[in-house]
Amino acid sequence: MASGIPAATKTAFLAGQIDSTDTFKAALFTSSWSEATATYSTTNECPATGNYTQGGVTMTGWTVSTSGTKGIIDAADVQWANLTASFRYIVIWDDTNASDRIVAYYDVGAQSVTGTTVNVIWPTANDTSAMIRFA
Amino acid sequence: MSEMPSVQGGMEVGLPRLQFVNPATGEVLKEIQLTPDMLTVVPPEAPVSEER
Repeated sequence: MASGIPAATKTAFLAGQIDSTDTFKAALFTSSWSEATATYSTTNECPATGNYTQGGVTMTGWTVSTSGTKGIIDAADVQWANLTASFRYIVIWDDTNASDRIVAYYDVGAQSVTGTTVNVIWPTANDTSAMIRFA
Repeated sequence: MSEMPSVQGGMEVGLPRLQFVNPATGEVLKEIQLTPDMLTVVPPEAPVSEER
C-alpha cells in the first residue's frame, strides 16, 4: 500500500501547470488502478452507480500557504454521501490542467460500502502533516 | 572548493482519515487513519475529533 505524488506531477508543479485556482477533484478507483498512472481517466474508476459520479467530487477550500519552512496545500474535507461502491484508491486530480494531471493518490486498502457516507478528513494543515507539502 | 551540503526533503503527502458513517443515524461505523506503512482501524466507539 502506498500513497504519493506522480513524478510527472512534480514537474507540472514546477512548470506552473498546476495552479491553486484550478478545479481539483477527488475520485474513487478500484484495486485495478495503477499507482503508475499520472493522468485522470475513467479506467478503473468506480462505476457511476450507488450515488457515485465519475470524475469525483469537486474539492473546495484549496489553499496554498507557508508553515515553518515548507509550502503546504490544504483543502476542505471530501464526502461521498450514501455511497455504495468498492474502492481502494482516492485520487486527487486537476480538472483544469490540460493533461488532467493526478496531483496525489491515497491507498486506503480495499473498501466496500453499501449505503454509507464516506468522509475523507485531511490532516492538520501544518508543515508536518498537511495534505501536500513542499520541503 | 567545499562540497555543497545535501538538501533533504521534497514533495510529500499528508495522510487523511476516513470515516464511514451511517447516513440515517449519523453513527460512525468505522474509521481508518492512513499511516505510511499500514492502515490503522480506529474502533467505532472511539471519540470522533472534529479538529482539522
